[in-house]
Amino acid sequence: MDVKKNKTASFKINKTPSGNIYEFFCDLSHALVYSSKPIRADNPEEELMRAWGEGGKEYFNRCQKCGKWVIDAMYNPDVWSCVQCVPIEDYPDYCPVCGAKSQELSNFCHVCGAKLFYGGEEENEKTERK
Amino acid sequence: MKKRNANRKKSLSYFGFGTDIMKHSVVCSECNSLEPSNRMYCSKCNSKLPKSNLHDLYKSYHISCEKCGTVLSNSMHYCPHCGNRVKASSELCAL
Repeated sequence: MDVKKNKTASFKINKTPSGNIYEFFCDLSHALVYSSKPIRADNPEEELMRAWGEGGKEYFNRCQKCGKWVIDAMYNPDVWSCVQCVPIEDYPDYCPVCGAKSQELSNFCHVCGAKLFYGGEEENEKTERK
Repeated sequence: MKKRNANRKKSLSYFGFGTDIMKHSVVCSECNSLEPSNRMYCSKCNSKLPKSNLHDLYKSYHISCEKCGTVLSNSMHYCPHCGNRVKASSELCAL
């Protein structure tokens, strides 16, 4: 399996008399997501990009952090990242930084001021600086 | 908060995202086909499907709350679901 980082998802080429069939896989789960029809082009790069553009791409989401191409199930649409980079979060009952019980519909902790939903260390450092 | 989270989970699942979808999906180790987790055999190659689903894979990337099993990001000191104190990786190494 060949991985062309960032340009397409990982793929495998099946050679047939009528052209090459490209199979694209999720970079995290390794699930087979899309098989192209037989394609012929002047060079391998063009062939790959045609297979990717003619249907492969629409089944994948690109992680904005690591550049992996993943299926919907392995994608966190809240932060446009794969679930390996950022786990999916629910609205918290407790502050993840200080452990205080959070108040309904509040975005920040009423005790320590940390961002409650997708805070992370970077986000909370920004809040502290403000 | 529970109702808000339930609605959120529902809408994520509706669009094919989220942990519920992961729990119901398994990848065939022979042909890499994506199958529902309630199947015993792959619909494409008929080989036996692995027991671990995509949610198990997802859990393996992160730490989980010891009390309730919620998947946590590395920056969390307390579980946002049950409020349990999360042991830092340095504390776990010391044990």
